Amino acid sequence: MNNRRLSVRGLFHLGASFAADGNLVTSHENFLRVVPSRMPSQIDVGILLLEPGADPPAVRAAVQRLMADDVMVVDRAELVRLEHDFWQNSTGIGFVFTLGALMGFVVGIVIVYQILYTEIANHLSQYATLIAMGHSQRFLLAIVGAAALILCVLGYVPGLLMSAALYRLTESATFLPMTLGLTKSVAVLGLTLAMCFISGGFALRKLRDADPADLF
Amino acid sequence: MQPTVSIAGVNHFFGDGSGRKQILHGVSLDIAPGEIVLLTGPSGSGKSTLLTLVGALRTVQEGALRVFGHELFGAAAELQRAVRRRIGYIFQEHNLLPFLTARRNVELALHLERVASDAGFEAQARAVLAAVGLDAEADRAPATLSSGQKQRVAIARALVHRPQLILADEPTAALDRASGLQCVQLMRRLAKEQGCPILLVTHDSRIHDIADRILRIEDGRLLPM
Repeated sequence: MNNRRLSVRGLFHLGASFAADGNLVTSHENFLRVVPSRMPSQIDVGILLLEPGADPPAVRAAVQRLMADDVMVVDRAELVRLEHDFWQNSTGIGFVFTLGALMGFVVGIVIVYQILYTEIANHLSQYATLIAMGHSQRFLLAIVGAAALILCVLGYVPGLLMSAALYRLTESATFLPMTLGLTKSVAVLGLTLAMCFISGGFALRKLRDADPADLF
Repeated sequence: MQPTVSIAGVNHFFGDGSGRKQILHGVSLDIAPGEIVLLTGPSGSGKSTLLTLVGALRTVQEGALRVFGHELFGAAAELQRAVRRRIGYIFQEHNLLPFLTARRNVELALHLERVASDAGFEAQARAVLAAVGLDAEADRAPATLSSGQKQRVAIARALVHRPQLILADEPTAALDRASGLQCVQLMRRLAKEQGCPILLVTHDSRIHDIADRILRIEDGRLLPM
């Protein structure tokens, strides 16, 4: 590497990331030999190993006092969060993903709206009968809401299974670490519900604005 | 006695601009409590339009139209709904919900605020289905009933909440002579029992004899009888 012969002494498992295709762990002496342009004072991330029994928050505060203001002393969980936020918010990749998710949400609303609207149009005279009996918009909304809920659940289950398969496929093809956690799944379920109910509300507007007599 | 329905100088138009067509011309009409009024006329004469105006299913454009003493001209949605609840509506098509049994369809007219049902509703629905001679069919799906039976379910649905006015739009159009007559006689009997007036739109001359008064409408004008 960089015109130096290195011998690999062991392997570990770590996938690719957005920044690098592969990773190499070596001592700082070797690192400086392989990358001569780096000054020994240029340190991006350092690790402090604590003695058993040490109090991490106390050590952290003490070390922070010794360091310059532009050095952050963080624990492991906070480092993970900082990295996550960086990729999510400070890089183009995060924005593209957020935009993709947002587009998916909007397209979902349009599709569910189409389905619900067709459903209402097919049963227009029955809805009009309910209105003629004096049923309230709330009652109709409850019916459309129930239809939306059924759609949501029926769509979510295969969607979740397909996503899980797609995650595994992407992971094996790109070595990018992909996790479909519980929080993410629940959040998507929440978004799907919101999507279906928003569409249902829109679909019902057509029913509300017309004179019931024109619906038969 | 205050008339149940009082219509004075009602005009109604369809369409806008140059395509605007007058459907009703200065229609005036009173319906007394307990009275059975038949409205006849050729198709396109405006009789169904008049019926939907009385049923608060259409916005009154010009004139005065009072139902149960409530002015429907310029009425808010809330008042329209309150009037609709006191009306039993029977349509040309039975308009039953296919996925509910006959009894559940009838119950639909009872729970106007809640989706949930209760035992009291079931008893009422069964009683009125028995009154239209369908006690044995209460738990069957509409698809398994004959068209006459379906229309009788629709009549039961229109009567179950003890309406103060019945509006019927060609209720016998989809029925043969025997079941058509059976349906209107049933309506007449139940309406007289409950003291509730009926406004019935039809061009079926076979059922004229149930009426207290027959009105004819042509080109949107009520003809003197």
